[in-house]
Amino acid sequence: MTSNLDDFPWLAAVERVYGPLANAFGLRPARDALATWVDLTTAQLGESVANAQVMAVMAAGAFEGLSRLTQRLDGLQRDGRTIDSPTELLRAGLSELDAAMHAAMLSETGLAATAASVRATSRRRNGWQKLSALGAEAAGQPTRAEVDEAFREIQQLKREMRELRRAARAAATGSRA
Amino acid sequence: MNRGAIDIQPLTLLRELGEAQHKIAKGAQRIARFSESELAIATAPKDEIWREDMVRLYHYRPEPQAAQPAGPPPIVLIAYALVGRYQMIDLEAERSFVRKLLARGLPVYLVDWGEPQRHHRWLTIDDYVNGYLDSCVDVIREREGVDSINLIGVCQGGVLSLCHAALHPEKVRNLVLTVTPIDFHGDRAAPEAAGGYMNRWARALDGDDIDALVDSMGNASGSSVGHSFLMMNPVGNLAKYTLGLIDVLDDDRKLLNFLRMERWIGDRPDTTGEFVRQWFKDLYQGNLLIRNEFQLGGRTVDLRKVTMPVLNVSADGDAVIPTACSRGQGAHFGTTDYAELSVPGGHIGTFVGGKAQAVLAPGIADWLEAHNQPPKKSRR
Repeated sequence: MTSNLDDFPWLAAVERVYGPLANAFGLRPARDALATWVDLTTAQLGESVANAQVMAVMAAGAFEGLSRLTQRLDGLQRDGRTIDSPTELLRAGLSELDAAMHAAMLSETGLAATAASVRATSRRRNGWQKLSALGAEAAGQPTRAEVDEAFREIQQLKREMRELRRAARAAATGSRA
Repeated sequence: MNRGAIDIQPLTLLRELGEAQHKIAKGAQRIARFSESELAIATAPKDEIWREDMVRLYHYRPEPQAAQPAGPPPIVLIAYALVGRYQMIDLEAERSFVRKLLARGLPVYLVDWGEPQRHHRWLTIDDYVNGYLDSCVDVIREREGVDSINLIGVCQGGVLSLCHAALHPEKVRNLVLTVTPIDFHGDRAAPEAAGGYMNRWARALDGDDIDALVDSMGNASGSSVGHSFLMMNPVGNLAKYTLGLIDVLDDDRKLLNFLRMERWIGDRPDTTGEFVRQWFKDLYQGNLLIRNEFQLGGRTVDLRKVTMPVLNVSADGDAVIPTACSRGQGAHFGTTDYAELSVPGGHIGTFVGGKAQAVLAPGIADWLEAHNQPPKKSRR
């Protein structure tokens, strides 16, 4: 059981008292599944929070864009000019929104929110993979990690084959010369 | 909101809405009428001459009306990036980088990195440089009966070409880098208001984050890469698919250009996991290439071993690869024959932009023809 059950005191207490006993009755897979499910739920919640933070940064950028548009319109009014076309107004709005959004997303807050979102997505993806690995093991199927390891070994062999082929070709060229 | 500067009359609003509606209706009919052959991209005829795994090497058929160079023409191999398909360099006949080189009488080869599958996730940058790319170079050298060829690398393909040139300088007669990041931290000294997203995103993460990302993701899917590019310019893209599209709906040429570009954008291959890991950790985060500390297959990529002539092409308005990361890198190379070419437009506009058409292919072809001679002794 690798899950962090500290956030769920009752579950943690039951797990600590009866968990080892449950193994004797063949319930280890169910315990692992529960722990992984708790991790996954926490990760999904974390991802939602992280994505909300990104949305908050974008919303702040949008408000800033609106504020910039207002300033632009103020400037036009001071100069005695007006916008009489809806398309022109839309273009002006998008232009200000664009600049404000870039500033927001490239700010320290924006970059930190994006990074947190990437981390949270990795954790959520990892949680699903652990859960599906438990299912694969229960069904006697190879897990993703096992298949990937086989792919890794094949790639390493191909790499070694490439080097051997090159060395053989170089040796053949050398002996002809 | 200041309403004093807004003087939109109801009739103006109705008129513009009516015009837009009319344009959209007509434009939809136009779009539906285009034939598949009109929408086809990358139509320059070519033959596959080699393949390994998902990677293919193509030879473009010579242009019948091509210029006849005085001597043997420079033989060119183009290596495009992995995050997009190579079709960009031959997007449409009138704006085809490949066709322009063929018209100058240059033999043109192209490496198509193909579409990596899940089992390719362990392919590293070393596999691409010392494996596929080196094999392509050898195939062409043997086929053409020459010791060395000219490499043209585009963006990531430029980094791969640069690494290959540093590790196998005897096989590369001239090196052309286009919109290629070399100093991945170059933007720190000159940050751009709306560019260098990838640089700053990568540096906001640490090495463990990249590991967790790659471990959980395997290959980076083409759609996730496409989403990252969209998020570099969310408002610009919103404008592109709304106002920008309406602007071109009554112009067949511009509309076809838009639709062909969409075909290319929507067809991103996956990038292998280990490539992504190395790309971000060693290059975007560690900036090892410019420090001559980048390791490929147990060998160090030493830019001082790039002793052949180098032409470095950058785009004036490149938001993907900030010019501070690509320009002014001559002092890092071992060659004294280093030149730069600036092209108007953005990262992709370098190849398909209207203004770039008169600069990019002619500039590269002129430079290659002027440097079409056996390699000189290096200075180091």
